[in-house]
Amino acid sequence: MSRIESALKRLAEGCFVCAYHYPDEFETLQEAGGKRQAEEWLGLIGYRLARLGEDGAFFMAHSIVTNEMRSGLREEMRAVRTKLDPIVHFLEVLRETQGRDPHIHPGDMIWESEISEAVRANSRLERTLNEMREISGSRTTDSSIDRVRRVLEQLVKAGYIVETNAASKGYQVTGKVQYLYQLLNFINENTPLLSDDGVVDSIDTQLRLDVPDGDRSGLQSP
Amino acid sequence: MSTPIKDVLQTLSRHADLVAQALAGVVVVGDDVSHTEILALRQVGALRPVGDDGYRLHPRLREYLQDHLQLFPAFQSLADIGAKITLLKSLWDEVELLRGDRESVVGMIDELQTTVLDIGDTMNRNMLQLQILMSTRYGNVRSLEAKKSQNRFYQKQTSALSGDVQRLAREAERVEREASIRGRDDLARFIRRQLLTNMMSWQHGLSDMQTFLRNEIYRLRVVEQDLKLLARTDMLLRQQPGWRGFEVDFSGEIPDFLLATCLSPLVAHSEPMESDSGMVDEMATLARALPSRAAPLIPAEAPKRYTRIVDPPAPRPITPAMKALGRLLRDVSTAEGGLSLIEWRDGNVDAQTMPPSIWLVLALAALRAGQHEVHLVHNLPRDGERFAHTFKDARAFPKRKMIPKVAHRQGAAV
Repeated sequence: MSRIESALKRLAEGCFVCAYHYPDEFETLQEAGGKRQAEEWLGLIGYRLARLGEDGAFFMAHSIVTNEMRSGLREEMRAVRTKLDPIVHFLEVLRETQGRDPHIHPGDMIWESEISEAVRANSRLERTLNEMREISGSRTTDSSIDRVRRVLEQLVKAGYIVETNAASKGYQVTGKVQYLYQLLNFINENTPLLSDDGVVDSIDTQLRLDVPDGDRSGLQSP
Repeated sequence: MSTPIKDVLQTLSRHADLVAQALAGVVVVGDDVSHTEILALRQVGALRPVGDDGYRLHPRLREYLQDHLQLFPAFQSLADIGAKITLLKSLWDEVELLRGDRESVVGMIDELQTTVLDIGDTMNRNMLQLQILMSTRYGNVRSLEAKKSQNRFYQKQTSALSGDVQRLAREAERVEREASIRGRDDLARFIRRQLLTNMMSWQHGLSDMQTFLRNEIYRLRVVEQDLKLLARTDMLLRQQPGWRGFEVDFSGEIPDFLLATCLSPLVAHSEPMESDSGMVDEMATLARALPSRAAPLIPAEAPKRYTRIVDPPAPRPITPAMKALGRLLRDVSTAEGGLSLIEWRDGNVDAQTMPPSIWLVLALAALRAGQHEVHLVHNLPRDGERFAHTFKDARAFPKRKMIPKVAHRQGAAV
């Protein structure tokens, strides 16, 4: 199968063709000839070639938006939680395990050993992972390492990461993650739920047990 | 023959390991570094003391090695050309002032040409460094914060260098123009070749780098925003388990990512091949499942004819009511003065099988259907009522019999 055929097949399957998941197909679509062929073919069957951002993953999109499609999208947004669960939880766990230097953007590397180590060292993360019911195939007897492995496998299955180093269990984040970020941005633009407008950080003065009641008023914030 | 340069180079060569070590950081006298080696490099000025017992490589030597190896640390500053531009300007001014002193002017012009070459070399080095940083996205930092800091650092560096290049262009054009006017065509040509012809590529390169840095800074801002939204969405999903989604108006333009779709999966239709063992097995299974032989032909049947089946008429049973009514009709036909239905019932056994009220209504219906005249015998009106609403008997008369006047006086017919 030629590269362009493979690329078209991936697009038709609804895959996000990026430099990390389908590098050959992505390279073909980057070239002017390949891109033109893909656009022509998709145009013939009523679709078009689209990208997640200027240099993001390629995907197949509807060419014409009908009223039925708009209604369908409205319904999808009414039940958008199904699209967010459990991927958001998984990626947030990965983000938290990476500390102050999170890397969960296209092309970033994730190592199973590092994630497992971070989870074991952090009881809160360990508990969060143990309480996750969305991990498919998990058992109550699973260790934290097993759960991390299952989470990564589930993310691979969903197309958000791809295994690049089988020996040391290294994974690379694919371009599909941009789809999720764009969806989150869309939710943020259309609802006040994720916005921090109006949020004021404040720290209440902590009461001390060793201070007599009469002196506490001096510690309290005015 | 020994010369100072050869001595220096030989010393560096003899202690190449220590030079390489010093390139990476400060060296101290210890197990793998002897005092003699340090002393030898100190004597040729390759090492300089730092702190109490440390030594570092001479900055120019470090710069040379890094240039040669194309090793750029995370925050490598771009080489400054501002001082050299100032020197170029000063030298040209001095050449103008010392116009009569030929020997001094020649020396100044030599110096000026060396400065021009230095500026060209420095700019080329800076551009090479920037190109390498761009191609590797200057990725030699580990954290997002360090990357942001690095972006800011190089943004300032390129801005400063860009300003210097603009100044260089002005000064170089002025010197070239004045040199041409003064008849120093060699110098003017030299400046054109070494500086002015490269100016455009330098300015373009710097502009590209600034654009790249702007995009990079924007990208990092986007990354931060993405991560923040991820954390907040996770919190939202955890804190509001009942939240399913939100209302949005899709009457306008729809973002591309929401229109992502896929084709329905196609059912594979593979051509059976003799060489495909799986397909052979499948075909054998299908063949075994076929009937052993052809089914016998079924003779064509004549079209069926259908006959409507009608139940034979069943004799209707003669009920006591029917008998009583038959008898009553006969008696009424012969009773010229009419007869009372209640009184007649008392004399008939069949009529007595029904309660008096049922009999009365049945007999009334039958007589009126047979065109007999029937007059009701009403009860007296109840207290407070002006008319009677009930009757207790009826009198039947033969057909076409006049109604007696008594009946009119008794009440209205029902």
